[in-house]
Amino acid sequence: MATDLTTIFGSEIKVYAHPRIVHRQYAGFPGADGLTAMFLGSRGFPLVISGVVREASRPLCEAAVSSIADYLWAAAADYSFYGTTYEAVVFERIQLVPDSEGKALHLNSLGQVFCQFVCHARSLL
Amino acid sequence: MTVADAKSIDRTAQPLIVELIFGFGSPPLYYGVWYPLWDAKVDRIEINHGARSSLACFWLPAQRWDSIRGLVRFAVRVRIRTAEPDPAQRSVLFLGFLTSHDSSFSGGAETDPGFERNVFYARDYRWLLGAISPVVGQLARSPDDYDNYGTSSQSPRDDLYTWLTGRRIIFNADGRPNRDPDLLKLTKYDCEVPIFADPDNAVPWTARDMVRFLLCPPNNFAYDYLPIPDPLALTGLSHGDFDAVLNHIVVDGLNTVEALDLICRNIGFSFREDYDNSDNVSLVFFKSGAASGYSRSSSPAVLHSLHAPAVGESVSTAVSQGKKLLWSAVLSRDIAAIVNKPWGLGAPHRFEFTAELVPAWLDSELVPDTADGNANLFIIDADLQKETNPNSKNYYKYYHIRGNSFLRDVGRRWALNESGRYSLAPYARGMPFDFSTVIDSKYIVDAAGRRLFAPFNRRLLPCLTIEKDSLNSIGIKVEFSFDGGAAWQVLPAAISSLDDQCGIYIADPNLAEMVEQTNTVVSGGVLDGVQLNYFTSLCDDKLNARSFKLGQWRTRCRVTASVQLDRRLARLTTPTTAYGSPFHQRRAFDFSDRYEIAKRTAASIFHGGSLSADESDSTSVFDEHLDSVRDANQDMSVSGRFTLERLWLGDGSGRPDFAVGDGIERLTGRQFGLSITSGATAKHPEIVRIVYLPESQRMSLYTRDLRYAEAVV
Repeated sequence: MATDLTTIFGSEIKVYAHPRIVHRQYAGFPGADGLTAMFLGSRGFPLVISGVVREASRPLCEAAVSSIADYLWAAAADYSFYGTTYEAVVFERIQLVPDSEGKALHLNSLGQVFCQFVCHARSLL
Repeated sequence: MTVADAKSIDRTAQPLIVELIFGFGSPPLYYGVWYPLWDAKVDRIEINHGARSSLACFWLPAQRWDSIRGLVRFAVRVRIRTAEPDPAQRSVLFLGFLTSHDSSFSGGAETDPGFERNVFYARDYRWLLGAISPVVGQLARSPDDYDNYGTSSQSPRDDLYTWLTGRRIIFNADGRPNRDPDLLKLTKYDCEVPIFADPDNAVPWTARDMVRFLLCPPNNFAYDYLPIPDPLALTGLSHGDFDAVLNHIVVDGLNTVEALDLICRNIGFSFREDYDNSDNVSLVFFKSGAASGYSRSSSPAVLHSLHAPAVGESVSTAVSQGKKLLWSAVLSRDIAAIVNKPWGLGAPHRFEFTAELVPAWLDSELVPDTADGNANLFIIDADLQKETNPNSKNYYKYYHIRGNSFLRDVGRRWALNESGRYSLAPYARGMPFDFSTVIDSKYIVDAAGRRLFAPFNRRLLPCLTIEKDSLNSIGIKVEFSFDGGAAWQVLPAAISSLDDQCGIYIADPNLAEMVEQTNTVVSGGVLDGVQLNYFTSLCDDKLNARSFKLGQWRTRCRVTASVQLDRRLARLTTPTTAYGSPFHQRRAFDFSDRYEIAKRTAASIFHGGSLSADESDSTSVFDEHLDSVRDANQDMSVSGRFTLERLWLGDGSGRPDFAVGDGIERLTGRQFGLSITSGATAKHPEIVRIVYLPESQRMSLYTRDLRYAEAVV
């Protein structure tokens, strides 16, 4: 059963998957033209999740980011987003995106504290 | 999978599958089917030859360092194979047993990621054979292992033998055969095994016999794991070099693999472990540096060509032709250790001859007592026993071994005078002995007529002449003459050979009891009518003032023995090839325990007689051996490490492409020949280690200097 990514990151997210990463080893030969390529297999595909975390206060916003970061320790699992299931996904890195002044946590007119984030995940398949 | 992309420039990694079979009990028994470890990664497989077992290393990336899974236990049987769906097409790269497990981890640092790792090592069947199969004690037949033992109809019984733990396993000990001419028949295994016997009734062990003995079922404690019902069927053992008789091969206390290695090295062979895709393990013997042909059905060690593309050549051309491309190589060619002019040294020449000795005492010390009508000239022991004071008699006092003023040399020491010690005064026995008077000049005189020996003291050695029955030397023969050398006779006496010179010493207590065999008397002179014995004969010469130097003595002594001279089989060969060093690089090889010239000369009294002699002239075989030493050492050494850009794991026939013992003939593309000449034959760098590196999908071939292969004559 896949977990909906919105239950982790909230509803204000964008999700997209990169094509698979392929690992090839190239062997050259001195003086000769050309290479041989040894296909060593694919290395899964990156999954990028970006969005906004929005909470009533700064501590709550930081706590929300921290709870998302807990998934960095999670084992590979299936996740879904708007009908698409991404299998065997692990989370590699979560970054908050600061503005040009270096500010990552913002206060809006409604008194909410929000931040933008990017999460880099990878499907192992 | 292994062949699909061999001719494609775009290659695909070839996975290797690690599989296990668990053992139960102690010692373990294995049954069941192979259990694949799909998540295991093979780090390295190292294939070796000879006594060095092969090694495989794999790890489980998904496991933490402290989680030794129940799947992997020590002594579990390990197989690493290719991944073809059809079992008949798979190549088995390794079969062995899990012997060690390493756990490691690191917390890492900013620039150094941490890790947790479980690594497992497996060793092949040679390791097991060596670990559980020591070589101790002879197998032989006891009286109960025969039918009708001790009778003329005695015959060995099948399947019966006795393990003699107190007898060390030394094949052909001291050069004497000690193999039972009757092979032990083991009906259970339908094979025949050579075993030990007393040298009195034995034949020599050949190298093949030794291997058969070591690997026969009674000596193979690993039989449950590596069954070899009849070692004679092993590949390579039928080669003619295994007919060689090797002397004094001591394997007692070694393990089976070490013992096999020792024997194989003596004949320039080695061995490896081969697998088929039915999990059968076999030992294959191959001659080092003698890979030939391109098909394993005709030769256990074959030749390969590797491809190093020429400058400007398109890689795709070579790949489409299926050539084995070299990704990297380290090739070393070296003339430093060349020996293209070996100097062989045999044992010093030894010759048997008969020669007269000179008295090695001073004439002045022999003073015959002629008083009272020669009454006290000599006294036999029976009369001496009646004397209350025998020392009152000069004969007893000076010349009897019990005399209180015993002159120990007088009448007793005779020498060849080879160094001239007795030539001048006060002895004045004449010229030093000239060996060229008794030895064929071709052995002792050079082309200019100069004698090839020096006046050094030597010692008498037993004759080359041998007894008819025992085939032992007859020893040193000493004879005396009382008539100036006209007739010679052996006198019963205790005589020993001198240690520091060629000569003898008469240790008989009473020289007068060495009587002439015809029981005659001295004729003429002061001693006219006195019994002729050894002592009175000497006295007669003295009293008649005869000169030994002038040949006037009537008492003579001659000896027939052998003597070692100052020259030996020695030969300096000439380089024959342009592939080696321009220098004439020499080294002495001492073969003094193998080759010699030993001759019974015409000057020996046994020459032309009925007794044969243990003569030898190893000149021709010595020359052949030296030529082979030169051939094996005159070329530059060629050794290297060759890394291929893909794994060559076989062509679907169930065997990997490369095996240890194979040779690398040339590097195509650059047209770089690797063969070197060895006499009339070409030799090629021999693969002594193969390392598979599945992580990088490459493999390395290690070759060695061919000159490690020992010359066999």
